[in-house]
Amino acid sequence: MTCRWVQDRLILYLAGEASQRDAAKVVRHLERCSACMSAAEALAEAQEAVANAVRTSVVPPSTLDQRAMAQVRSESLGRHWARARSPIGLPRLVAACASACLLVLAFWSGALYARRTAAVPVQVVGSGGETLSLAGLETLHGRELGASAAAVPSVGAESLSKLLSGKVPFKFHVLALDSQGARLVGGGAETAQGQPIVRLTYGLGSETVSLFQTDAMKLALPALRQMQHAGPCYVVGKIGRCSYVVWCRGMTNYIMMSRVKPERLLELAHSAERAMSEGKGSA
Amino acid sequence: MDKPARSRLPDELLARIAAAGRPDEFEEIVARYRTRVYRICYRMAGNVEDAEDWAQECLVRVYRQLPHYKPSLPFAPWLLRVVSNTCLNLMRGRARTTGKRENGLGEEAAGSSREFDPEQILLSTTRAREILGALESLNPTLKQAVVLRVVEDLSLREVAEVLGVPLQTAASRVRRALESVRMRLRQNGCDDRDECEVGR
Repeated sequence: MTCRWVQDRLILYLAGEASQRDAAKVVRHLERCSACMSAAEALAEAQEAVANAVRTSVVPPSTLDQRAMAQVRSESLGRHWARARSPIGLPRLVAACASACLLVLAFWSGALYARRTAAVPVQVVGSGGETLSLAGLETLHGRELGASAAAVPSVGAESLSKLLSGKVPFKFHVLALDSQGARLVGGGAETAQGQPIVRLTYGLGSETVSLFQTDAMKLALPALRQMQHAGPCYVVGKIGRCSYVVWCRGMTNYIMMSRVKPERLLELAHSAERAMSEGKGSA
Repeated sequence: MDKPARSRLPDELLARIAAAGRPDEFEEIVARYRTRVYRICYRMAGNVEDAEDWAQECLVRVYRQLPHYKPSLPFAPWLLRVVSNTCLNLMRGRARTTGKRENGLGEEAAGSSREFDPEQILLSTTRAREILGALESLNPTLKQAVVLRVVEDLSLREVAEVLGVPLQTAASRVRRALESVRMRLRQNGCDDRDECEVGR
């Protein structure tokens, strides 16, 4: 029995989890080896020090359950659809590929937007609150249309995030969407239907895109149509001369609005959602 | 089934019902494990802001994995395994994104956390800060093992079960983690004192 053998088992011995036989060997060795005894004392001391420093009394925020369950319920709907597929290997694969192809085709052709008859009721998150008025947001969006996006200098997502931090009582994201050709030109905390909202403004070519963010518990999504695309549920539609895409993430609703085509706006919204999933641009 | 009845069901049965497509049953599981999940995430993430996001991600991941759970096995170790592995992946993802292993505990140690945290009282000692800093610099797999051992107060046998590794491997990871912390404290002159020298 070597010192190495003993030191490999010290942690188990100190935890009272070594076998009786090993424990007896360790004790016999420690009685006559001062180096291993010192190692045992140091290990016990380190364990106690770490335990004292690391044990925590923090409690989870009250919003955790709501956020987790909102996502679970949303995914449960997707799981229900998935179960309808064939359980057999190859046909299941073929069905999945066919579904993916159909989704891609439908996405690029804009068919999903146009086909209103295939409506499925949207799952309203935060239905206890007032329903969000898209017309009100269109009015807010219209206020910016007078200014040319090109004339406004671009702002940094990080600095804007710091500026808005603490101004609204819900989680929001400030995103850079330059890779999608949308340049962040401004943003601020505003009010819609008496509730605080965050509004970001992007320049997209000659058009302006507004990305509104609201507390899902205060302003619920309107019950429109929904489209399942790569995970999240998007609501796509038109109001007045504007296209809009609405989706939900955690306990925040996101509403993107612009005069660009709905397909283009959906593409941009999906990029924004993907950026959030990757942990970019949080505030 | 009403809520009071649900609250008396064992975890294993609730998990089976939830896996069959009844997410409402999962709410009870969330209520039972929210604090344990959050504390693991808090220690693995190193700050309260990421902890909430990570805890949400972990709970959703548990829900997604429910169809793979075998009800004949105890539920808690299985859940902790999903949670700790999810945290490990999130840590690695964050390290790839930020180009550094961790950024959380500095915020806590500097007292700049945006939420009230009773632990600030404990962190007022430089020694505690040094220990947490040392934990931050650990390899994620070593950190995962030591967090389960000391935050969850699991036995080494339970740590091995959660991590899905042999007992000796789990024990070795905890030992190496503790030795790394001790060496770091010694380097900073904190090993034998209640307070480290300020400014190190």
